[in-house]
Amino acid sequence: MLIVMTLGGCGGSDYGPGHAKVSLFSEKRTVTRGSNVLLGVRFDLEPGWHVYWDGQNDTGYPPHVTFELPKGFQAGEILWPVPKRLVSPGNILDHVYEGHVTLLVRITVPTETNPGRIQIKGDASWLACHEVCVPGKQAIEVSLNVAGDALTAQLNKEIEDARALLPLPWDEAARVQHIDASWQDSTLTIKRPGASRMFFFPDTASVPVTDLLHAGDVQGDEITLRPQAMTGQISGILGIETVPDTIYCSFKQTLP
Amino acid sequence: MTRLAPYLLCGAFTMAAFNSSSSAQGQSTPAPAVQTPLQVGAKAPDFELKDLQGKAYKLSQFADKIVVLEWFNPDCPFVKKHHLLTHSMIDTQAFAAKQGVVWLAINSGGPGKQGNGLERNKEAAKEYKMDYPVLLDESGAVGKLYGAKTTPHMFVISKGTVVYEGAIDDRPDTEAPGKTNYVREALMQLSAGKTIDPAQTKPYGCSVKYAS
Repeated sequence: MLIVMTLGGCGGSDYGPGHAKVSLFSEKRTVTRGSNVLLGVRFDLEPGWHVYWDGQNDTGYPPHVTFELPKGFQAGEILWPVPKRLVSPGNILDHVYEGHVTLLVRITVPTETNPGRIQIKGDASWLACHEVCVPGKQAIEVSLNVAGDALTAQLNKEIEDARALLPLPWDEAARVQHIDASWQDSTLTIKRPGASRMFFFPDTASVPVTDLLHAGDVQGDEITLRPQAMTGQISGILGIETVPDTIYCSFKQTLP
Repeated sequence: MTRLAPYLLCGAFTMAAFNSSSSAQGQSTPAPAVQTPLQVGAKAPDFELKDLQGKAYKLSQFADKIVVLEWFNPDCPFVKKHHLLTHSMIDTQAFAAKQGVVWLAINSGGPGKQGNGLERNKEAAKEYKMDYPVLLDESGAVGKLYGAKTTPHMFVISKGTVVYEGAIDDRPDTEAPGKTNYVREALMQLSAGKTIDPAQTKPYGCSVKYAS
């Protein structure tokens, strides 16, 4: 498809026509049969450009990654890091990643496979936007050694860093955060005493909430969400800003 | 339980560090701030805009007709898919025209934004073989009146009331045709006197390139 570039500064960049460079890397260089390993799909975005989170957005679409795996290998769901809100002219609300983002995918190594070197190939496609939107596509590849025996592998620090950017599981967050969620008159109020600001990013399984532009980012220790329908669930990522840091956790409430 | 209204408080604070890219929330935007698109069942507000030949169109002049509004930006890759790759837009428009349906494209992109300007739109309308009006809404006033978020973003209006709002089809990407064309379905259901289902879908595409 012909893409007409209307902005200056697009040519001659290191990032290519899709305004992003994508690389695939592994948590471990060597894996054992019957184990699993995390792969990172890292998008390095041209400054000013963004790609989309996999949740509710007004525009765009999230990156799509497919893998060609050796026989018996299986890929899990993509794990999406916490995005940031982006409000554009006309009150258009999106949840995006800027700078760089690493999507994680867990690969299961079959018990029945020959030791040796394997290749994992894939294709990444995405929509990058900055004033204008441009679809991008790139082949990605990583090689791994499959070992017959158990071993202590050195873990890739970058995967560890990427894991730290995933939302915390709800149970884990609730245990330490004293979060209280309650329904009244078709509104869900989530309170976390001491919070200075709270966020909510709905995922695609969630019933849309009314006026997310304001309701999804509030000052104070309480966030009130009004679902647009009364069946299903409210789910996504809950952000809690406290001194000294902000935590993000997965959140899910079934509608009463 | 006490019930605060956090979104009332919110407006009093400026966006802090986390939302560093938020430029739109300017305190000095008195323009009507429609966050959600005009709902199905709502009265379609009248507007007057000029097409690429300078001819003025008012929605109210089609009060007794079915009108389809297509939010348009000739350089958005989603729009290009529908106009150049799959032809779903002009195919659906041709289908609609046979039923006497009025079809208006509206470009709410601000000056200097992608796909803006009389010349660019004239060129694109010719290339895309659009033999229906492309209306320019540079101030974005009509786009905001309707809460248009994306290009494309479709509204079907019957007797002055919004009867369908959302996407053109069910394939939110820049590459492939959808399985179900919601606008075509809505027009067929409308002419058969049936309930429109779905009457609302999630529009997809580029953001409308509003000036502010």
